[in-house]
Amino acid sequence: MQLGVVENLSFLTPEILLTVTLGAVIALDIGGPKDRKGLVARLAATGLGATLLMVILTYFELETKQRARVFLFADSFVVDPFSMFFKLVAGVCSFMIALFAAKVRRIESQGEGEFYTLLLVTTLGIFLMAGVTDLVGMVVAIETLSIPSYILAGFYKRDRGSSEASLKYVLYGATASGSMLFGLAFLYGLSGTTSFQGISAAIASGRADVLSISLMLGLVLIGLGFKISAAPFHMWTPDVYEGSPTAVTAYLSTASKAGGFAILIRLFYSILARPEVASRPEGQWIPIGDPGWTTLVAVIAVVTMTIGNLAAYKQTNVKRLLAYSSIAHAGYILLGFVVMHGSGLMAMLFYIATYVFMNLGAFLCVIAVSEAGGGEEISDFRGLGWRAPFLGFCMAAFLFSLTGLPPLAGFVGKVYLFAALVEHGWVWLSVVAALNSAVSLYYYVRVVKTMYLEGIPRRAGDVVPLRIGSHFGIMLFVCLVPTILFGIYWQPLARLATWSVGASAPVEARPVAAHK
Amino acid sequence: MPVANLEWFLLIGAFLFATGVFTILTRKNAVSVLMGVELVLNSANINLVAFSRFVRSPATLGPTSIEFPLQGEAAHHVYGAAWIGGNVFAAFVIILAAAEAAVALAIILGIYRNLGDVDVDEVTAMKG
Amino acid sequence: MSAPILSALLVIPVAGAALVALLPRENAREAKLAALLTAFLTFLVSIPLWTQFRPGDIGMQFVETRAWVPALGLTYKVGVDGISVLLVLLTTLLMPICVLASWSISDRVKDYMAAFLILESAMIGSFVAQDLLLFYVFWEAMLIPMLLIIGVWGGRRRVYAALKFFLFTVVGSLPMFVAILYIYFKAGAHTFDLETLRASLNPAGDAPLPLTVTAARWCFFAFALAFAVKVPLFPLHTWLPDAHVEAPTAGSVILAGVLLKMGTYGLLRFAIPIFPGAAAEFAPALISLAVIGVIYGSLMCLAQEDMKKLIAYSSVAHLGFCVLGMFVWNDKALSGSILQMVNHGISTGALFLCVGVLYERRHTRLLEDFGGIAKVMPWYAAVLIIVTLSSIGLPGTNGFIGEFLILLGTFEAKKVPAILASTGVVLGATYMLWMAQRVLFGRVTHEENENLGDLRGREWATLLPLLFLIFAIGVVPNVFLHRIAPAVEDYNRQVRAAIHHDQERRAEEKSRAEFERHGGARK
Repeated sequence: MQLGVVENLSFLTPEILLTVTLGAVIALDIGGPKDRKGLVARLAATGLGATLLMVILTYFELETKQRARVFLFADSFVVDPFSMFFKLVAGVCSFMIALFAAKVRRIESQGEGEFYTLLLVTTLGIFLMAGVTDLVGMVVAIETLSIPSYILAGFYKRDRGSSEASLKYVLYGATASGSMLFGLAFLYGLSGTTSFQGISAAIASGRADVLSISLMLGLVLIGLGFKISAAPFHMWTPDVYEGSPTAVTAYLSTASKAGGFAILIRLFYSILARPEVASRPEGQWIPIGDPGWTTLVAVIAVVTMTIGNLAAYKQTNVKRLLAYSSIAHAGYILLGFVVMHGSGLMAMLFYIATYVFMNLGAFLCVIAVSEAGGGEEISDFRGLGWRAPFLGFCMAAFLFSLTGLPPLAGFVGKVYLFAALVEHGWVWLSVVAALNSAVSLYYYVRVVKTMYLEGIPRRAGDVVPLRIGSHFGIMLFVCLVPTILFGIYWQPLARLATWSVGASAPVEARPVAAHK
Repeated sequence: MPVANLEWFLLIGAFLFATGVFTILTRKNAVSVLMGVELVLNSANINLVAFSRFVRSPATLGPTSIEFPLQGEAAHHVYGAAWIGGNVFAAFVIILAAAEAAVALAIILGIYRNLGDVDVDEVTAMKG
Repeated sequence: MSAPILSALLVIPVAGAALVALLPRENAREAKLAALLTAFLTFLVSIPLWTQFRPGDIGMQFVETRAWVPALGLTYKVGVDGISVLLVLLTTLLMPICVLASWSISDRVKDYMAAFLILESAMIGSFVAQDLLLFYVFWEAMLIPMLLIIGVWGGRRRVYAALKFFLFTVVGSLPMFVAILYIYFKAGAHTFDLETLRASLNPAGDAPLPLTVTAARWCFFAFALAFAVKVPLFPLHTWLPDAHVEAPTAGSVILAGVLLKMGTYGLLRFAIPIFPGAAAEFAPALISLAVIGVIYGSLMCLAQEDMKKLIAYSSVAHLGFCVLGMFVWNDKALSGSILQMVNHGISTGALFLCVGVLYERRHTRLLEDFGGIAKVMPWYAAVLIIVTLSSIGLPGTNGFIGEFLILLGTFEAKKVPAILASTGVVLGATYMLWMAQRVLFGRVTHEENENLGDLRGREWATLLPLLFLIFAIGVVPNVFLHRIAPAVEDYNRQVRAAIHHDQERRAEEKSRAEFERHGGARK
C-alpha cells in the first residue's frame, strides 16, 4: 500500500515536534528575555513531554491501523513498533533528565540553553537510530547522538573531571566511529548497496560473501560496542561516567545505550539473520551463513558482565560503581541477543525498559544527594537511609532491582533473559550470568549497607536530615513506581515488548513492483 | 602504465587506516591522536568513493568483482542508491568528520585551559 | 467460595507495615501498638486455618487461584495442606510475640516494626505459594527485611553477620532460579504451577521423561543447595551462629522459629516431589550431612560460652533431625519431622525469649556472668527449665513427640543413622541441662545479679502461649498429628511411587540403550 507523502510524514510527528522544540529552545536562548530563569528548561521539558505523547499516539496508530511498518525516505527510515519502543524509552529518559536538570544549579549557571539544545539533539539522534535501515542514515544518526554527547560530557567547562571525561569520550568515540565507518564502507562495497535490506538480499543471492560481510560487521561492532559499552570497548565508560555531570551520566547510561542496542539489533538481525516467517511474532530467527557470530556475541557478553562486575567491587565512588554496573548490565542485555529468537529480543527490550528506570533512578539519587550538599563517594552515603528516608528507600530499591532481587523490575527482566537462554539451550550462559548476579550482589549491597547499617543515629536528636526537596522527591517517585510495579505486575510491558519485537522483522524487502 | 583498479584504492585506504590506528595508539598528544582519527575517517572515505566509482561499472572490477545479476530498471530498484550511494555516503562522512574535529578541538582547547597540557597520559585524574 | 483467608494473611501485614511507616517518627508507642494490633489481627484471621481445616482431605485447602501474568504461565496460586498449615499458624502466632518481645526497642521503632510486618507477609507467602516463581519471589523478599533487622538493630558485629546471612542465602538460591527456569521449559507445560510441573516432569506410564538423569541431578542439587543453606545443613551452617548472636531477640526468635523452617519446608515441598529420582540418589548424602549436623551441632554447643550461640548450634542439631526424618521415606519419621519443625519453632523461640529476658536486665549473654539466678528469679527459673526440658525432648513436652517419631521412623527404615543420631539426643540433654544449671543454680556469683526482677507482665505474655503449646503438643499430640498424618501418608506414598517409577524407567531406558548399542554393533 502506498501512502501519500503527507500521510507518511504524520508518522514522523515525534521527530518533527522534537525538531521544532529544538528550534524554539535555540531561539528562546538567543532572543529571549534576559531574566528567563528556568524558562528554557520548562520549554524543553514541555516539548519532550509532547514528543513523548506523540510517540505513544503513533504507537497506537500503528496498532489500530494494523500496520507492521511504514517506510519513509526511499526506504532508509522505518517507523515500526520496534523503533517506537526505543523512542518511547529514550523519550522517557530525556524527559526525566530535562526535568531533573532543571533543578541542578551548576547546569543553570553554565548555560541552560546549551544544555537543553544538546540534550534535544541527542534525543533526536536516538530517535533516528531507532528507525534507520540504511548505512548512511545509521552513521548520521549515531553521530547526531555522539557529537553533542561529547560536549555534554564536558559541560562543566571549568571542572577538571568533566573536561577529562569529554576528552576521553571524544577520542575513544571518534576512534570507534572511524573503525565503524571503515567497516561500513566495506559493507557497501561488498554488497553494492547501503540499505540493510539490500545487503541482506545481496548475501541471500550469493552476490556478497557472508564471511567478508561478517568480518566487516566485526569492525562495525567496535563502533556499536562502544555505544553500549561492551567489552573490550568499555574502557571509556568509568572515566566518562565519573567525570561527566551526573545528569549527563544518567543520560549516557540509559537513553544513549538504548539507542545503541536498537541499532545493534536492527543491523545484525537485518543483515545476518532472517525470521522464520511461520512462527512469528515470537519466532525463531535463522542465522544466515556461519552462525559463529552468536558465539562471539555470547563471549563478548560474558566478558563484559564479568569485567563490569569484578571491577565494580573495589570502587569507592558511587558514580564509578554505577558505571561498572552499567557495563555489566550491557553484558546481561547482550545475552538476549545470542538466542536468535523473538523471546530473546523481547527479553532485551523488556530488560532495557526496566533497566532505564532503575538506573536513571539510581543516578537521580546521586544528583539529589549532591544537590543537597552531599558527595559522590560511597562514604558520603553513610547513614543516608536515616538522614533522608525516602531517598534512601528509593536508592535501596533501585540497587536491589539492579541486582535482580524480587519483587522488583530487575528481577523480572532477568527472568525473561534467563528464560530465553535456557529455552534455547544456552544453559551454561545462564549459569554464568547467575554467578555474575551473585558477584554483583556484593557491591550493590555494600552501598545499601553504607546507607542503612552504618552511621545509624542512636538517638532521635542525632539525625542530621538531608533535605532533597520536593522536586527531586517527585522525580524519584516517578522512577520508583515502575521499578516496583513492573516487579509485581508486568503483563502490559511484556505484551508491549512482545508486540514490538513481533512486528520488527525488518528484512523483507519490498517487492520491486511496489515502486511503480 | 598500470590501470587504476579497485585494489589500489582499497590498499591506499587500508594503509591510511593502519597509519591512523597506529597514530592513535602511539601518540600522546591529543591533537596527534585526533589527526590519527581523521586519517581513519578519510580511509573510509577513500574506500567509499572508490567503491562508488567501481561498483558503477561491474566490468572493470577485476578479481574482487561484484556481479549484478539484475540489469536496467529492475537493477535500479533493487540496488537503488548504489550507483551514487558511495559518493553521498562520503559527503556525509566528510561533514561529520568536520563536525567531530571541531568539537574535539574545542574540547582539547578546554583541557589545555584547565590543565595546561594536552598529553593524554597526563589527563588521568580518574582511575580504577 | 470461602473467604480468601490466605490472601488476607498476605495483605494485612503489608498494609500494617505501610500504616506504621506512615506514622510520624515521634510516635514510637503508636507504631508499636499498630504493629502489635496488625500482628494480632493476622493471627485472628489465621485461626480458621485451624478450625476449618479438614484433616482427612488430601491435597491443598483454602486454595485461591488467579491469573497473574498469563503470557508466562504465571499464576497467583496459594493453598495449604497438612504439611504447611501448622507452619503458617506458627508464623502468625510467633509474630505478635515477637512484637511484644521488641517492646524495649527504642530507636527507629517504626522502621523496625515495618520490617517485621513485611517479613511476616513474605514468610507466610513462602509457605502458601503453590507457584514456583511466586514462591521464589516471596523467598527472596524475606531477605531484605531480615538483613535490616539484623544489620540495624543487631549487636556489635551486626553488619558482618547481616551481610553474611544475606550473601549466603542469595548466592545459594541463584542456581535454584536457573533450575526453576530450566524445568519450566523442560516440562513443556508452560506454567510455574507446582502441581502441574511435578506431574509433567514425572509422567505416569511410559511417557518419555522430560529430564535426563544428569539434568535432574543438577536441578535437584540447585534446589537442595538453596534450601540447605537456609536449614542450615552442615557445612553451610556458618552464617547461623553469627546471625543469631547479633540479631535482636525478636529477630532470633523469627529466624529460629520460622526462617530456618523455610529450608526444610522447601526440601519437602519442592525439591523432593519435583525430582524424586534424584532425591533418592542424594538421600544417603543428605542423611549423612544431617547426622553429622546433629552430632557436630551438639558438640559445638558444649564449647559455647554465649547462650545465643549455644542455642544457635542446638538449632543446627535439631534441624538435622528434621532433615533426617525427611529422607528415609517413612511416615512416622516424616510426621515427626514436620512436628519437630513446629516444636523447634516453639521451644527455640521460647529459649531465645528467655535469653532476651536476661539480656535486657544484664546486657550480657555469657554463661559465666550468671549463676544462681533461680534464687533471685524463681518464676523465670521455672519457665527456663520447662523450655529446656522441652528442647531436650522430655516425655510430656512437645520435643519428645517429634524426636521420638523421627528416631522411631528412621530406625524402621535405616538403623545406622538412627543410632548415630540418637547420640545427639544424649548430647542435647547434656548441653541444655548444663546451660540451665550454670545459669540458674549454684551461688549468685555476681553482685549485679542479686537484685534482678522476676518476669514482668509483658514477658509472661510472650512466654505463656509458648508454654501452653509445649504442654499441649506434649500431652495431646494427636490433635496436631492427625492434621499432619494424612498429608504425610499421601505425600510419602506419592514420593515412594515416583521414586520407584523413576528408577524403573531409568533402568529400562538404560537396558534399552544398551540393547540398541549391542544390536547396532551386530548389524
